[in-house]
Amino acid sequence: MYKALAYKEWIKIRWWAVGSLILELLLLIYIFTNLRAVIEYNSAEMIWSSIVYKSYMFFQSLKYVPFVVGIFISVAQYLPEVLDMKLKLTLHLPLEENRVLLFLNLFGTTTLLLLFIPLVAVLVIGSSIVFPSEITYAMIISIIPWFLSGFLSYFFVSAIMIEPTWSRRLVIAIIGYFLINEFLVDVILGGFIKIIVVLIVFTLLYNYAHMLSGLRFKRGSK
Amino acid sequence: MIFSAKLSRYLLVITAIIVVSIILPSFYSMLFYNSYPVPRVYFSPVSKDFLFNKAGGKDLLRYDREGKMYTREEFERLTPFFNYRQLLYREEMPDSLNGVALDIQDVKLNNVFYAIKPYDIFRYTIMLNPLIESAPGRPDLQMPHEFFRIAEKMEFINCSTNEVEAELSNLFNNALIENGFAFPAKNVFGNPSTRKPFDEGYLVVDNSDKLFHIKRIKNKPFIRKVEIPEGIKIDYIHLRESNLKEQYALFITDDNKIFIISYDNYRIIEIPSEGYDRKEMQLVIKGNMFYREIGFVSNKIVKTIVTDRNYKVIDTYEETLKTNEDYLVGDVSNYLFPFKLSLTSSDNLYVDFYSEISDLRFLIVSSLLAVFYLVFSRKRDNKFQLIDTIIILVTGIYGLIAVVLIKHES
Repeated sequence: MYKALAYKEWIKIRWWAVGSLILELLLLIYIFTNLRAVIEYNSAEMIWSSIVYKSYMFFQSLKYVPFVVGIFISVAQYLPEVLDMKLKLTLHLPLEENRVLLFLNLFGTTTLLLLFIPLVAVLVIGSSIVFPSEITYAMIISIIPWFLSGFLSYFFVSAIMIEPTWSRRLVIAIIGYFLINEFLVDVILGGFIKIIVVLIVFTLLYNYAHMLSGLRFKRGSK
Repeated sequence: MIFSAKLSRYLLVITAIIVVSIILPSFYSMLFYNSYPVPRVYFSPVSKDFLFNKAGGKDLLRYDREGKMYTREEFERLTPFFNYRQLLYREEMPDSLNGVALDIQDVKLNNVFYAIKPYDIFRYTIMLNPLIESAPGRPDLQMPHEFFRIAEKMEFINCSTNEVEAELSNLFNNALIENGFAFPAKNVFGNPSTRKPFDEGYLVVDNSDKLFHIKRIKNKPFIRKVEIPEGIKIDYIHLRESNLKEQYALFITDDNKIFIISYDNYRIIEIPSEGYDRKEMQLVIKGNMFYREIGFVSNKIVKTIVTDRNYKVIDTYEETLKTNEDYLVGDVSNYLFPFKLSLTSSDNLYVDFYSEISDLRFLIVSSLLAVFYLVFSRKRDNKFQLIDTIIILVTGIYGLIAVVLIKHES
């Protein structure tokens, strides 16, 4: 049954996933051609100095991409479900409802993970070719919260979609906005190092963020 | 389903509390808090007493300990070292002071001014630095093509190829080993700029908290172990080359003591540091031909210790400043907000959970809010109402907002 459910989810999101991949590819091309040009027209020493002393982030344009991809996947997955109340059918499958809801979100989370891993991998490999490990490490610390914001945008938009009432949708949107804002705060390279583990654990918990809305959807709260 | 939904609700409630405890206090302070100017402290070599200036209305207020006000011109005449350029411009620079002839070159050379802010110390640093050639045989210093790291060993990495320069690395690495360096380096401090009169390389704290001076002279290593007092742990070193050649650097320890490494064979001099807290105070060092001024500045306190050039204390000034906490807005804030949360800090460049916890006054408002909630919440589901009430008691207005916005589904 879950296999069939996964297939149904895949049908819904596949073009959005492909679109996200293309977006990531274009982003990577931009980041590295831009980096080449910056080094070419200045000097490698100058770029190293800028990174070490002025927190120049050559990967800055990545910042909002995971956030946007998270919204894409969530919309692709849940918009068709709620537009015609199809989620009602899904929740009437001979499976426990919260398991179904959790499964739907885990499917989305896995998709995001699969979309983000190649992006991180290419960034890390590219950075390791041009820069020493110290700089690559600082980069990883800096981009993790941005990727977490992608998962959070997915969780919160999912909750907003499933939620049946507009007033509660607004509440969830406001809470989500300010929470994600904290993950995208501008800080120096490596600034997140002290709380990165806490943020990862915290983000994982939000797999449950849409459950309350799920219950309200099922009950048809007004 | 019910259980997951409950879990989901508490997750959202906690998130709402966190978010509101970040947003609401900062909005409150933006709306009601005032800025209280911090006075700048000077020691006049003319009157041999403290002078102050601080922002007040349109103009800067200039005054002394007795509160006597001075005009800008009077103030400048009383601080001839600090304002020598202006005095020269007005042709009012004295030829001598206290029987000492004032040569402008001397005045310039002996003027010292620098500040170390808490966020200079508390920040993530990428431990890669360029080791500038100290004897370039040219009038200007030049940026080298490689950055060095001191991890398991000392390595120079070519910036263009990102490859380790084996020969140079071995040369320096062996020199470090010969001098008993404990790898990896805990911290590396220097002044990686070519816009300075000469280069003094880096001061490096090794893994057993010993201090080493590392320079590159004619592409050869200069390594010198600097003897520091037993048992101290260096937290931060401020190294700025100056033609005065009085001190290599100033360093701050993890127990807020301040030391100077002098050019007199690396002699370590402890300077007055009583009352200094590197976590929240700026350390301001000023100096001139006659005095040294050591200042500790935060928005709560200013303290300046004036010493002679051998750091013997001459006079001390300390003032506790009024902050918003001392006024009604601060009181109201303490009643209203059980705690204030922020992920960033103006004194620290790490992202972390910075919280300011209120004294117990918040419990008064919290209790009122809890009673209010109990009376007005319509649904009677005792168990969950109790949990929500406890949430409000502990987190006050944040909790109330959270449980009202995200109601319990029975």
